[in-house]
Amino acid sequence: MTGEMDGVEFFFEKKWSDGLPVVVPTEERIERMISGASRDPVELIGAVPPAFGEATVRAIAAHAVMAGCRPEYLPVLIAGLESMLDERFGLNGLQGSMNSSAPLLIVNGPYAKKIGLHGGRGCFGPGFRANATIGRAIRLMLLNLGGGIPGVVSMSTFGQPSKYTFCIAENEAGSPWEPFSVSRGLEAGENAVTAVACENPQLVVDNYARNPEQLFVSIADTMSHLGCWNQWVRSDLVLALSPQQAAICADLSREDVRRRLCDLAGRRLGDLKRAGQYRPEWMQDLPFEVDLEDDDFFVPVIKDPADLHIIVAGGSPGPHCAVMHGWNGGSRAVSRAFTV
Amino acid sequence: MSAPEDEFEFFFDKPWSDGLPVVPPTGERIERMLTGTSRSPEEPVGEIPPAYEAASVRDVAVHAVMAGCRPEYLPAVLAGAEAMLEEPFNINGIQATMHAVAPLMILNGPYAKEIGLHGGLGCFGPGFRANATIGRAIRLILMNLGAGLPGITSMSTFSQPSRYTYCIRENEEESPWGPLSESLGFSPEENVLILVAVENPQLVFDDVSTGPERLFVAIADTMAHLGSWNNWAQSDLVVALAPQQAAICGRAGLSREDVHARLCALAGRRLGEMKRGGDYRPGRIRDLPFPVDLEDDDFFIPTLKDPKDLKLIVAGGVPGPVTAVMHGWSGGSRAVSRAFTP
Repeated sequence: MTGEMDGVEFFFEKKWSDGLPVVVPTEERIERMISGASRDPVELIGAVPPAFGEATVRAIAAHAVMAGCRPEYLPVLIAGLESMLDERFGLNGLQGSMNSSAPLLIVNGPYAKKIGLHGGRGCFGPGFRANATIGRAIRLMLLNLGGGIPGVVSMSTFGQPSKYTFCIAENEAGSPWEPFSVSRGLEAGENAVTAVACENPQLVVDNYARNPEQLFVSIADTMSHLGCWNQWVRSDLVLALSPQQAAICADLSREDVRRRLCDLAGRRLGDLKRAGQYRPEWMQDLPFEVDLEDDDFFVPVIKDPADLHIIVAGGSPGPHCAVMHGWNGGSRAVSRAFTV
Repeated sequence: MSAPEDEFEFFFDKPWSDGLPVVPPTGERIERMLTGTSRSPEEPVGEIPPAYEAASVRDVAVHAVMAGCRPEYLPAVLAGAEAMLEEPFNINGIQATMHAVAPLMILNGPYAKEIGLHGGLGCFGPGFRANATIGRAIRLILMNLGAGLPGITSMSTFSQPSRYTYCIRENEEESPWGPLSESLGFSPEENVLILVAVENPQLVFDDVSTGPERLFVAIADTMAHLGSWNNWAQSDLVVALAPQQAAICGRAGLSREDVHARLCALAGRRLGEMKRGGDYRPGRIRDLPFPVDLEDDDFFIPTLKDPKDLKLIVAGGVPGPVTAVMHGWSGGSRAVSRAFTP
């Protein structure tokens, strides 16, 4: 580092830079960050594939500083990383994939609200420090500890904007249902994070539907376009209903909505055969029987209903849903409770 | 600013922060940034709606510093700021809408390559300073000078990750065709910015097709899903073919115009499907720029109401059997393109 060089420029020169300015991780700032979690700084949370750099609490804190986190964000960050390092999540494959999916963190419970993690209007976009910096700290660790650098380890053809940062709270106050984490088997009132590998949000606009059956038409249609991986193999899928769209479904339970969408979203086998990605052997590998001679056979886009994750997010009013398709590489969403 | 406060915290506390750290815009850094252009710092660039704060070249440079740009990126940020203020782009509407579209910057020409703007593997994601910071400077200008703040003037229900930053160049080197700018009437040597308001990229994966007609099936199907605005009203749409997919078209002897025309012909839905749900209203269909027989449920309604609203580019890396589809916005925004001098 020459005398001429700006402190900020030093970090831009690193191969693992995400391309945005970082807060310089001084000892003082790292110590302050560590104070945000009651964990031993030398505690090893895990090794981040594929380079398997060790994520100790201290190393996580250093990345949290660089990303711009406040100390109180650290417990969420640690829990998010722990979820992603769960074997079921398949992080190693995700880091190398030609697909673009990124780990989305969905946070439930009182702590998210306390630290200002946003689940309301504009939650997938800029303007909210907790959202922006927790998601970014995850990405910096994937780049720096995991080595997931484009063209080096990551073969993602296009990348995607949500690889910069992808972290929201559920809008529990705007939801007619129990928290998402409760539907995942955790206790109400518990702080919980769910990590799920998915594509960018794509919108379903509908300011006309007045009942769930009408509303579900365009949601199911968007879920089942022929470009997505969900069509061909078992993959997760996240559906975010805005409070306005969730209210249309308020007489139904979350489970009712999930079952109905699993029934509606899908394509006839004849449609699938027309598409480039179709392979008969994939149909034979599905967890249910498909009659390959019957072009009218309905192949659901959600191969196992457990893979459809319905959350409430975004602002009110707003006649929108956001569909986030999944990744093919055998990744399963992982939820875990955390303490602060 | 109290004594123990971190310099980075000062900017985080501003209501217009995008939530990420900024480079503090010291006088020295702003002066260095201004060396990236030969334009006068006092020259007006325009007023950014809806707050209509005036932006001079110097104001743009301040935001470029904060975003993390190098001085040589400044001409691209200036071109972006000027392009978004062109009337057909309707940035005022984009700032306020409940929808989530963001201005995508697509650059053609030698300058984009010189400054390291990336159009290859991973170009929509992190890891490329020019991409990350040029797009971010535009967003900071929209938030700070335009007051496009969530919940204040921006009513975007969900917003979208590409509102942090959204800037690539076309992968001209690995394209079987001339640059997009050339198809829009510019000379291939010119530096050109195409600005288009779109959603996030959504992927179309296909590692089986060897011919264009089969390849186009899933692309057209994704273009035509019922959730997008393109179904219901004239809207822009960007399709980015990875070099591997573009090569399938090139080998078959198709020009960019051929692919463009074919996708416009294939992507669409029968009226009967549209009537079943989503944003269908007879009035909207009657407003389309072509006549539709509302009694004929088999009537085919193209997703692209006007073929010129499709921007077909080559981007992304090799290998990669992938196409990215970016849907548009209903609110009367039209893509703009302009040549600029670095």
